Amino acid sequence: MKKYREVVGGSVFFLFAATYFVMAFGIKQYNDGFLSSDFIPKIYGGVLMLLSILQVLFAVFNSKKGRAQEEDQEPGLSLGQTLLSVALTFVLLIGYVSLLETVGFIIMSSIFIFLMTLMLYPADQRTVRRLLWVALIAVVFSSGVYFLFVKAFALTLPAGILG
Amino acid sequence: MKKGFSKVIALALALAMSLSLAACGSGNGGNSGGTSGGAASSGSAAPTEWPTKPINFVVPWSAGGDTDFFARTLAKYLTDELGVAVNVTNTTGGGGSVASNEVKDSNPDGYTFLCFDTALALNHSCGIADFGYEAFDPVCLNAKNSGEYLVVRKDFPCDTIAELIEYSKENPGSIKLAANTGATSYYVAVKLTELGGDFNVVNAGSSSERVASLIGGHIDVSSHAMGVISQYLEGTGTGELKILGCLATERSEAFPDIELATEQGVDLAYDMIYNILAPKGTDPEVIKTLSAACGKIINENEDYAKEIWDAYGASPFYKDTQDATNDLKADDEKFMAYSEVFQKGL
Amino acid sequence: MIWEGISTVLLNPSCLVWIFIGTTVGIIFGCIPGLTATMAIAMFLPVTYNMASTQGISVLTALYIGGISGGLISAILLNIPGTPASIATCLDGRPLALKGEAGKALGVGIVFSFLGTILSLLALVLISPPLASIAIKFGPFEYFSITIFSLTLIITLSSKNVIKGLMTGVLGLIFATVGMAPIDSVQRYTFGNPALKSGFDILTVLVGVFAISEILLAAEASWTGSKKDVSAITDFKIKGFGFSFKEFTSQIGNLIRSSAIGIGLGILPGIGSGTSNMLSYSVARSQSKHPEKFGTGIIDGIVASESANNATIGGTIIPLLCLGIPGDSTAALLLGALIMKGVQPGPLIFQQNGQVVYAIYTAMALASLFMLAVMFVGMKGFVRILKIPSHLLLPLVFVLCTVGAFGINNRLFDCFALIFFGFVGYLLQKGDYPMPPLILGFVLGNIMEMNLRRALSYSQGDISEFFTRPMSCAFLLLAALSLAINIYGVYKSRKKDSSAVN
Repeated sequence: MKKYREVVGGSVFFLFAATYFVMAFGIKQYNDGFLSSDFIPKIYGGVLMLLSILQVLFAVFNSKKGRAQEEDQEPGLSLGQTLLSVALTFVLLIGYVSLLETVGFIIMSSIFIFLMTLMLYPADQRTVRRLLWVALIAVVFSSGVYFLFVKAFALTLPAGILG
Repeated sequence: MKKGFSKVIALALALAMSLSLAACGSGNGGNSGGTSGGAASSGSAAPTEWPTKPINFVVPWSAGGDTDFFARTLAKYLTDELGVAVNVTNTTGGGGSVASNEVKDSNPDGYTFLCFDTALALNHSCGIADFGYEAFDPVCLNAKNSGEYLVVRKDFPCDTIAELIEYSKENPGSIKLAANTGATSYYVAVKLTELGGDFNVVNAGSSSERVASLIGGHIDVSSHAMGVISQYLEGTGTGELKILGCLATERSEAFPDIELATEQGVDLAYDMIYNILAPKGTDPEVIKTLSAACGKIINENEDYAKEIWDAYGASPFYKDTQDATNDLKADDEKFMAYSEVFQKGL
Repeated sequence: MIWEGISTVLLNPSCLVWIFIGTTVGIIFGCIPGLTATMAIAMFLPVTYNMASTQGISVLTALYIGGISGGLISAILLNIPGTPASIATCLDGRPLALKGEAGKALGVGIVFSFLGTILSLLALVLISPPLASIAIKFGPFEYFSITIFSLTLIITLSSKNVIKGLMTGVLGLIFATVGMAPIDSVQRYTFGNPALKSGFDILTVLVGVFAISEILLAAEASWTGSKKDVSAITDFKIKGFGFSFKEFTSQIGNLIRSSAIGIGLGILPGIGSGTSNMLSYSVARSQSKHPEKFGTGIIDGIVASESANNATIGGTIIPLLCLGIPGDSTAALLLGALIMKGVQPGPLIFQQNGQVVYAIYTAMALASLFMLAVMFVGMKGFVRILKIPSHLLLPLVFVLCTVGAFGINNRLFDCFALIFFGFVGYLLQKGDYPMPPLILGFVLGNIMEMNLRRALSYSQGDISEFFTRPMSCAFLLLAALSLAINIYGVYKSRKKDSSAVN
């Protein structure tokens, strides 16, 4: 498994570096100074491509040699379950930020904290009592932060529906 | 139940302290709050309550430079005059274009203004910004410094700008002249090259960074306003640097002994004028009020006059909205004439 | 004038109170991920307008010191550095906390932060003009070489796999190229998006890569599994500062060396505290008798990191006062405040505005003392934060990070950038790539490129000048050397491994 991880990692880096490198050719060239602004990006792209190839080669080489592998696999979790949790979290994070301006900081943060904590709670510890506590903390915390920063610290936070 | 108890105490403490701070802050503003809304009396539909919250002056250069200085000094007195805090933010980058873009696209609610200078027109002609003064609603011109000076190290084998050009012809490409794309220093470099000079035009950073570079021997020539270099000159400071000439259109009141470039036979003159611009669409009443407040401070406040004289040898200079717009237009045309040369690069 | 400067601070009760407030607020802002000392100073500036110049500057200095020191709290307790200055603190601070000795980690961090500040204050008072004249000798060649040296040193931090370390380092450099290029301000990789024009903000990168990736990682195991609870093993009874006198004396050499590194890097504007803590950590590790223990939770790592980052404060103030060049964005705000008070930095600042200078020194000393006291009192409380289960703590932290990100420019883009970098950090962690080189690459990217281009334009394309200039050559050689030593070391240990396996 570890070998696949190395190869996948290296390949992703390679693709990224190659794209970056190709895009560097679109950078405008001024005549100021000695080097223009496309030079360094090309270097970075090229070096990264080289490194990612090296990484994959080394990984393949090492696994062929049968070196001792350290692996910390979480017990009893399938790839699918992991992906699901991460994807859900990701959706939650994006959703929170996207709706922040429309709905407003206090409401959105409260919802977010509640849902996120719910998600992160180990399944066996989700009792109704705990969830009520979490909801309360979420609202108090969000309101507290809002008032502290907007009123006392003169920072701007989206008021959304409430503003 | 104990979880987070200390955290609550800490938060409460912070809240208490900040509330007391806020109380102090608004206490200052409250005293002179009466002057703000009164100016707009012509019966327009615009809100007469401006300003009601802090105003932001955006300066496109890092703190410590001349534009920053004039903006900050004015902001300090405006805070008392208008009754709200006038804050200065330095948004650097892109030769000033990051800030100008930001303000240009910002909400024209009368709380964000750009404090720029002649470089606005230079950004336009260098192509760094694809707009000039016309993308804004000018408020006023708030200062003019006594001029920028061409500076070298004490032991440099030239004493005037004319000599410098000759020297560079004898040593083509070896004298390092500092210039920043889109700034007045770039115009200086282009003009000196036009007049026959052969320099290695290099980038050396902000005004303070250039001075340090100059002293450290990394560059040879650089242009600066007086305030930044006075501590290094003979007579007023350590004497590590000397001035070759003044690049303004007329001799400075504070330093009347310094020759102008034009007097040395070098056709290079420009004035460094600082302006305040508002995003397009800002309420004209707001602009009028702000301009009037600035004018009042600049023309009448003696402390302000003393401060700018002490630091930059500058005299109070103010032009109201209409005059400002005309001058900005003239500047823009003057530098746009060089845009091809600028964009070709040095 | 010296006495005048000192007395306006020391003998003025309201000034003392304000310094105390400044330090405390600074610590709070520094320890909450997402909030920074820069934000705190920007917030306080208007309040200082009507204060006397000495008092106003003192408050801002106190905020600065509190802010840098506060970063260690979140670094140790949450594995999230409050500022780039505390990244290296996470490397040994967090493992120490996981071993149940959070109190010790905090204690060590606090005491040595204090000592680092005091040492740099001494340097400031006694030798700032000579240090400033050294700073002036650094031109673009030297700056470039130092950044290369710093980068290679950080990469050797990732001892497991130099190639991977190089890769994340270059990735950091790549992220730094987004936005306007140095020198000619050409737009790169902005895809026409106006928000990307000024590039990414270090806060979003730092907090995103460290904090948000934690959330995603925590999410992985959560849906069905159970997580190990850190609070179960932490010892909450802390005696004094949590570590023994013997441990203290063993770290004196480390303290002095790390502070020297901090001061040295501080006088070079732009390089500053973000780099000094990691550099100091790397040097401490390479000089240590037991380098393999670094990263498992020993106090040496924390001492190296925290003395360096606090010592950098004093170092940064030197070019600030003597040359008018601020070392980072926080110092830039201080500079702005000075200008507004009519203080023009430069060689004559001691003569023209001596009282302000000495007020700053006094404020620094007082702020450090207050910091020591406040953090000592708060130590036991801070450790209790660990009692909050991470499934509640992490969302709370994210909300605060969002506030911080939003506060940078009042737009949501930075919050999205936060999540983006969180995702990047998560992927990197899954792929077993090291993260500190990414941050350092990002921090140093623009400085490196700008100085490379400047240097080549000064020498008109002549590369040899990098080597003919003594300091530049020295740093480049050190960089090559450290890389070579590291590769050799890895090669040797691999041979040992494979011969042991066989």
